[in-house]
Amino acid sequence: MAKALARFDLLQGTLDLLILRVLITGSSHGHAVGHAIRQLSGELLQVQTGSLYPALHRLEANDFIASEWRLSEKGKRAKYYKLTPKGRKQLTAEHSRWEQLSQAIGRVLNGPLKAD
Amino acid sequence: MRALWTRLRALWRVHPTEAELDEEIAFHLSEEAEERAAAGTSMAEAHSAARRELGSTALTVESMREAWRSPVVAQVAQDLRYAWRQLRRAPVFAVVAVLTLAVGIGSATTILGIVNRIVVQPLPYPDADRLVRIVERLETTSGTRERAVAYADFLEWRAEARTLSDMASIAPMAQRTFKTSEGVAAVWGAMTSGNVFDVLRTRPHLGRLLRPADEKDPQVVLLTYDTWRRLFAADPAVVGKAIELRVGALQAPTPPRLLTVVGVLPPEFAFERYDFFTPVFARPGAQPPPVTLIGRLAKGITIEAANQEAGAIGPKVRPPLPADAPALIGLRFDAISLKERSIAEMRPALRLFVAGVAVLLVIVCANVANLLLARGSSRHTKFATRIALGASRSRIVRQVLTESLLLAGLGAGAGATLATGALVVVRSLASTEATGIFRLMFGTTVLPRSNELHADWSLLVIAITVGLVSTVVFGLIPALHISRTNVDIGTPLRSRSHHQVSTMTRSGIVVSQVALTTLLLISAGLLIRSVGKLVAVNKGYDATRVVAANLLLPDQYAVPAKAEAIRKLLAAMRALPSVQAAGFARHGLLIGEEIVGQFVPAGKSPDVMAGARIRFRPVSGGFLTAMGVDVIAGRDFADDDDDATEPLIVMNEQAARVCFGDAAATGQNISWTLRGHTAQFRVVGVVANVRQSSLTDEFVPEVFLNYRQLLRLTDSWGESPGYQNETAIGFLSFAIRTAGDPAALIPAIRESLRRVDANIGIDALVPLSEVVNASVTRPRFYAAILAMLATLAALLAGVGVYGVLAYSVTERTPEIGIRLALGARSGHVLSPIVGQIGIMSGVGLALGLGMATATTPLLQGLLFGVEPIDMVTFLVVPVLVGAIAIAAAIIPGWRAIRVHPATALR
Repeated sequence: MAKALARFDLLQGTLDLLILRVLITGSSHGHAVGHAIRQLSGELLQVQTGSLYPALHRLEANDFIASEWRLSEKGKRAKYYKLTPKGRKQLTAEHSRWEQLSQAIGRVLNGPLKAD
Repeated sequence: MRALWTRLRALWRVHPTEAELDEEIAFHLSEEAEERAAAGTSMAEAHSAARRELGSTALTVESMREAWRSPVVAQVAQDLRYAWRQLRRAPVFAVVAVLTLAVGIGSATTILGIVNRIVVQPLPYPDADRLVRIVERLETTSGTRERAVAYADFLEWRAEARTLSDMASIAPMAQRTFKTSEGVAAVWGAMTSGNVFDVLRTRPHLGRLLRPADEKDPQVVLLTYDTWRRLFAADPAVVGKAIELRVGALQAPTPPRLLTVVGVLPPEFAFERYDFFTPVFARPGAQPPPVTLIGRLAKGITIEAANQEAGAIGPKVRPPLPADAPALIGLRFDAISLKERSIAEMRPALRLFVAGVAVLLVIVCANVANLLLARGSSRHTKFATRIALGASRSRIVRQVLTESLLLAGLGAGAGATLATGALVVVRSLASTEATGIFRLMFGTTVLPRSNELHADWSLLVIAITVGLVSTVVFGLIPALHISRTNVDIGTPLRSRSHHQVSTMTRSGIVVSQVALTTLLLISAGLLIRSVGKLVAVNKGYDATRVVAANLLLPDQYAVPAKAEAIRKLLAAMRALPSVQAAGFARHGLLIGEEIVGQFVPAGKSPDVMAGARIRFRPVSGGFLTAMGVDVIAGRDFADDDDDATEPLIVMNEQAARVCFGDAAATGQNISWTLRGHTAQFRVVGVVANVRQSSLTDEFVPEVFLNYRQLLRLTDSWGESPGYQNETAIGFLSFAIRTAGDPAALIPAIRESLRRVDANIGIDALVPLSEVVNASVTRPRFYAAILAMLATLAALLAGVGVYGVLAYSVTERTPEIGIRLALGARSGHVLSPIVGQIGIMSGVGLALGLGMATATTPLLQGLLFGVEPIDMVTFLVVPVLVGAIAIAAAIIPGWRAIRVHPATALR
């Protein structure tokens, strides 16, 4: 029952931003993060496993998130990630950069059309 | 920079393990499957979806793992593989480069190994820097002497000394003999205070060392490893056994002492070439022998402080000098580092070795730099293309650097191997072939602790360090070259001016190589000529075809018995076929000299002769003849003189000059005063001067007496048998001249000795030429090392010249082709190449000769009979260099001539 979804190609940095944002609410394991992104985007963004986990590990390597093994609600062992203070700062910075970028693009797209 | 830092940090980070990764992914997939199941997918579909997911996931997971596994390491591994492939595609270059590096690293490691052993740790005791020797120096009008200290004074000194944590005494013993199952053997030992091995901090190899308690019960002995091996066949059972210590050649017969062997010293231990150590012992009524003092500096004390204290304690402890001593200018007590004595001799040579190997290293680096530059030039096109196509500059630099590292690694490995072999050669070059008393004189080796001169880990560290340093230096050259490349597809990829500049650099490098090689060759040449002069110097005697024998007569023989034995031995030796002459001398000609009594020629007063220092040599008839000493006037002793009543004397030229000036000495009278007795002698002959213990000594005045006449004289004067023995018989040295090969005569001599008297022991029985060789071991060693360095340098310089010429021919091939096509003759084609060789060699030679002229005076101390600016060497070396240059040019020249215009222009 897979829906046909429009596929958006996310830039690597953008995915990182999304993951950090999701983790603001608290710690989650990888699957839950992917799930959250899908839900929050209204099913528009489906993150591939092959992109999600490298992103998570990269973020961890850069000390933006920290991991620990815990028992999930269902009693299975899973790796939970949470934001670090450094990650929080990175999120703020990246968020504002994204805002600036999207504003700039918006201005170009919605700017006056030059009539010859 | 940040990225690099992050990546470095990532290297050290603890990455999730494989198991963790698998578990995380598995969890994800199971959650996924559950979701799908909850959403209504059938199990089968859920599974196949999961499998698809797994497939794509596995790929990603795998690449994630790859990324983690130290990306830096992965890239380095890739670079290494690439570098290896590149090297294999240019085998000649690789082999030459690796060999050049191996030569440089190998020789540097070898020389540094030698220097380490000689300068850094010459003494085989722990903390040897803290060991000092206390000496009393008497400066008199007739020179500076060192005086030994009485044992009682030592005890007093030890109590007073504060700057030394402990002091020990060592007294050399006159020659003794050990009785072993093989017979008797001459040994040279020392009496020591019981604490000497505490001061030296030695550990025993077998059994135990001497200890302070032994001073109360001194009938014990400690053997050195070498003695144990030579005389007791390294039998561990000897520890605890008693051995007989009998008197040696110079002492009156006394009852032997029975000493218990308490232990054996380790193989690396050596102290002044002694064979054994025993506690201080004096027979009732006798004094212990005088001693030399050694001590260990107390913690925190400097040697200057110890020196000062020595200066204060010395005068207090020492008794006043006897009244008849020569006038004293100064009296000093010094504390000298024990290490100093052993390295002072070698220091000038060591500086030479280090300088030599440094020069060689410069040549090596120049060669490798040239090789890499040439290679870089030829790959220039390829790299430029890659850069134009988007390859990162830093990546290429890194690849080139990796290639250099690989070369350096291979070179270091090969170099370390070479060094191991070279050290074996060095060890054998430094060792002297000497037995018996000659071993005592010359030692067994020129290098201290040479038996420890083997490859060890420190050698490897040195090799690796040298390799790394040279990599950084010449790895950067091509790398920087490449990174400076201006890549513009529009310009022709082979810019002529760029290559001209590079050729100039490379030619310049080769010129400096030739110059340095010239310098090394000249230095080596000077040393070689020096050795040649040393060996060929007119020693005054003829060492070819002479057998030198040092014998041991049983100590029970009274003096008359010994004299009789000598007569019989001489008769037996003269009876052997091919023997032309044989004679006996107390102490031989190559073994020490002494001044005994005072010689005053008729017409001179004793005071005038006081400072004459005329040496005293009892011999038998035939000795001087056997040694090949020329008789200048009169005659040598004959056998008849043995029984002649008139005391006769033969003197050497120097003595004749000292005693009688220019007047003829033969027929003159000379008086000899010994311990209050005087006798008149008549001079019957004058012989040529002879160089004594070392070939560099000056001539000294010497007087030869007939040993039998001497015995009769001393006997008539009432001297003790012991004194008679010491004065007239001493070490039983014989010289036997043969018409044939001396080595072939030795078994016959041995046999005839046995037949004369089965109790005779042989201390040394060797061709005299071997002994002479042993005395030149040191200068020969220096010359050999430098010659090796110079040869390597010459080879490398030749390769360097060849390299530049070969490259230039390749470069010029189109030009040559054009010329040939236009009708030029082969000779014309060669002229630019010949010109190139000429200029490179000429300029290099000139520079080298200039450098040599300036620096060879520094070698003065090591040269013998050769001026620093020696014409012969300075003429031969340029010819040699020219020959090398020509040899290097043959192949490129040949190739130049063979260029086919058609192929060249393609």
